[in-house]
Amino acid sequence: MNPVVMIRSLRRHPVPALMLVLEMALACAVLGNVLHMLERRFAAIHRVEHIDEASLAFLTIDNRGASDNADTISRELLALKAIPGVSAAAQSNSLPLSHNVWGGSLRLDPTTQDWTDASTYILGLDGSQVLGLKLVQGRDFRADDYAAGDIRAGSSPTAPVVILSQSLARRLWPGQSPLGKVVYDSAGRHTVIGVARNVLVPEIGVNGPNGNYDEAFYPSRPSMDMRYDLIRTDPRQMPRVLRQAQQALYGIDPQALIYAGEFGSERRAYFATDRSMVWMLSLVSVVMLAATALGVVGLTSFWVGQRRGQIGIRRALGARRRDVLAYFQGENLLLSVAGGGLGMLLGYGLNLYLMRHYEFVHLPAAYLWSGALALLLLGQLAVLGPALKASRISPVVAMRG
Amino acid sequence: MWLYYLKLGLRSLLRSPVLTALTVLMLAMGIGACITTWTVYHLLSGDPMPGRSGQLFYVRLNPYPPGVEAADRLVTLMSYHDASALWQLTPQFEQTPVALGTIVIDGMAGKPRPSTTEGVLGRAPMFDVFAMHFRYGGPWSAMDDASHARVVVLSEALNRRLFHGENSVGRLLPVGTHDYRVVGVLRPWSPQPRFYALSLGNRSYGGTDGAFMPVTTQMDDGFVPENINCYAEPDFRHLARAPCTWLGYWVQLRSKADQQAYRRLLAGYAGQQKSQGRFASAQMGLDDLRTWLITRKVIPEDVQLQANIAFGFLWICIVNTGGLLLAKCLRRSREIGTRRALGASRGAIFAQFLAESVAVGLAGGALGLLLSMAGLWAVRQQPAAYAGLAHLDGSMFMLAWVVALVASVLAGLLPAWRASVLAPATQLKAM
Repeated sequence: MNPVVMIRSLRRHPVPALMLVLEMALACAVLGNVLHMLERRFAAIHRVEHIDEASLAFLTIDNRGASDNADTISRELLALKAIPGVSAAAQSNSLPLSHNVWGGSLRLDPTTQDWTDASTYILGLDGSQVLGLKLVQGRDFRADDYAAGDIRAGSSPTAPVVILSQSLARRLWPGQSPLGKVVYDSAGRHTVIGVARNVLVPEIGVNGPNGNYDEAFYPSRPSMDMRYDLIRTDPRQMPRVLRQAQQALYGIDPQALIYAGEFGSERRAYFATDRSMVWMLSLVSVVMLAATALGVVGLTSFWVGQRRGQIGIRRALGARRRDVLAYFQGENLLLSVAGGGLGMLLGYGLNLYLMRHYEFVHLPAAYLWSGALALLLLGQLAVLGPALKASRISPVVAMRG
Repeated sequence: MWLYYLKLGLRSLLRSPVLTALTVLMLAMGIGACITTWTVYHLLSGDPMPGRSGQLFYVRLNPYPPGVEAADRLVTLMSYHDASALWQLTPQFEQTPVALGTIVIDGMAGKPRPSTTEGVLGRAPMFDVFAMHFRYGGPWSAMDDASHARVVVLSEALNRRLFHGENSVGRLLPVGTHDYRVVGVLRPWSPQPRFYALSLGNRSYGGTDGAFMPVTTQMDDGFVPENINCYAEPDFRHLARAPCTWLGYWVQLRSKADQQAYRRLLAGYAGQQKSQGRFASAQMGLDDLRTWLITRKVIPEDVQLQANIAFGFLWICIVNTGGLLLAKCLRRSREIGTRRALGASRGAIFAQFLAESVAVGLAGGALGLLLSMAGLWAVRQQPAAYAGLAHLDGSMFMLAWVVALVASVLAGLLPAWRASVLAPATQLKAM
């Protein structure tokens, strides 16, 4: 089919042709951007971290009345471990995605102001195992490491040793082994004894957009400043275990405020707004595609119908059904390409606008391409019905009008 | 005449009910999406202090000492040291520091288990500055602030929870190991967005706070701020001296002259601190409430994005509705030709087709409103803090009709124009 002929014919019907191009262009522009947003949200929700999330549960304890740290806390942990189904328990100061941010800044040289942001996780005895840190280098904390660490003035870990996440270790010493190296915070120095696989920070974005796996783990002796008791248990028994755990802790301190949570559901709650955004964006994409399909089908079928006389003449002059079909599909392809091209430009402009006003990244061209391709396929499907109908018209009927 | 066109339009619409229904549905979905998202946006961008937002100012300093990282930007919160210094420096102005944190109310008669409430800490003028009104009692006094008196003002909700809504003035509230005497109970007070909570680490929208207490007193009793940032090794147990920022600071300035005077005093303070070597920089900020809400990006980005996406979606619906109307118009060229031949002017044809499109628009508007109510119901099921606010109000109801009208006219313009310029002779000949 000669596209020049097609364009000449389209120029005789500029209004429906332009309308079709506009419909496809708008849909393509919006679809490309929406798909991109969808992908980013999806990635945010499914951020991986290397701990076993399913069997992890926790209790937070506030308003502890007792004054003796060590004694109360060891009683708490003993009570938790005594519950059937609890395989391990330990104290910690925070948890991934808990919103409970203990910020920390580290530097390699105490004389400079060259700080790197990292989240602080402080773990009580057995904490690294209960949290489930997976060491890739060096060694885990030992009982004497826990005994040597403390929390000063309610916030600063004093342990002489530290385990870093892979991400942070790589940021601090790219290409070098971090083992045995020393980091300094505002209070003191810590020697790196191990590197663990990545764990998420308590709050996404707290260490900047690329620091969501940057954290330092410190051991500590029992401390009231650690509000979290972590437990490991079979996920199926978790609700029962947590109920019993809460009762057990109330038994130790009836005036305490205790919240019991499953890590998995806390994680889902953390990303709830992202999840509803995913739903909204998916719904918009589907409805938008449906609306565009409807528009294209409607316009094409009436437009094809309007050109029945033309079809009749062509059929009478020897055009086969195949040719009529191919003509309309070719015409639609031409319009789709024009619409897709315009749509990609529009989509790019839309992305620039979003980047200027919101925290948006550059839209990879692949999304615009796939948007345009989707519209092209949609157009071909939409035109199929009307084109088939047109090709079945007998030339005599068509010419008579 | 328009009524006649509308009648013609309706008749033509009913002739192809499926197509008409699809057109209406398409427009309705665009309108529904827009009204849903715009209502949320509209609610979240409201003025929390009508009539007063131009007089309320948020004060900022840069308390970082020389040689500390990030010493070159204004920080959003203030240290207790600076808040007290400002307080003493400018006694002629109505102002208050604000801090937020969880308050634990110990077990009391009839309620043996402890419970928590959100605490707002400030100084006596807070109630005036934030336009809070009392149901029982009144604010505490400047003397109470100075003497660190254990006094508390309850929100309406907390008073209902603890004292069944009775006049609880004079009753005692056990907090920590101390008793706080109730001096007042507020009338419902819940500005949205919760401008005073921004950057104090609390949510920006939603329910009311529970207990209001003097900052001087609660600090002695082990208050833990929701959000605290330190620029040197801190000791959280002594907040008054801690090198940490954890307070917001608001001042009411009724005139331009007051604003200039306060700005001068503030600049003087910051400059003095710098020359004494306490501050690295003499930066300071004095933003009115509106500016502060914008600076803090109080409206969640998702809400803005959704409003934008819905707008894009509406355009797609308009263009596709236009396409369908155009298709119908192309099919009816004979009818148009006949009407023209019988004496109808171009204008009359144009008006007739536009009326048809407006009829579609009004039906779309009605259905769109229903859809947006369903949409807002869905928003209310979300876990977001603002979810409970999402209700259609009068202005958004009106806006829905305006959008419907504008959208249908936009969609109808091209088909109506096409119809009106058809040459009658050609169309009749084709018959």
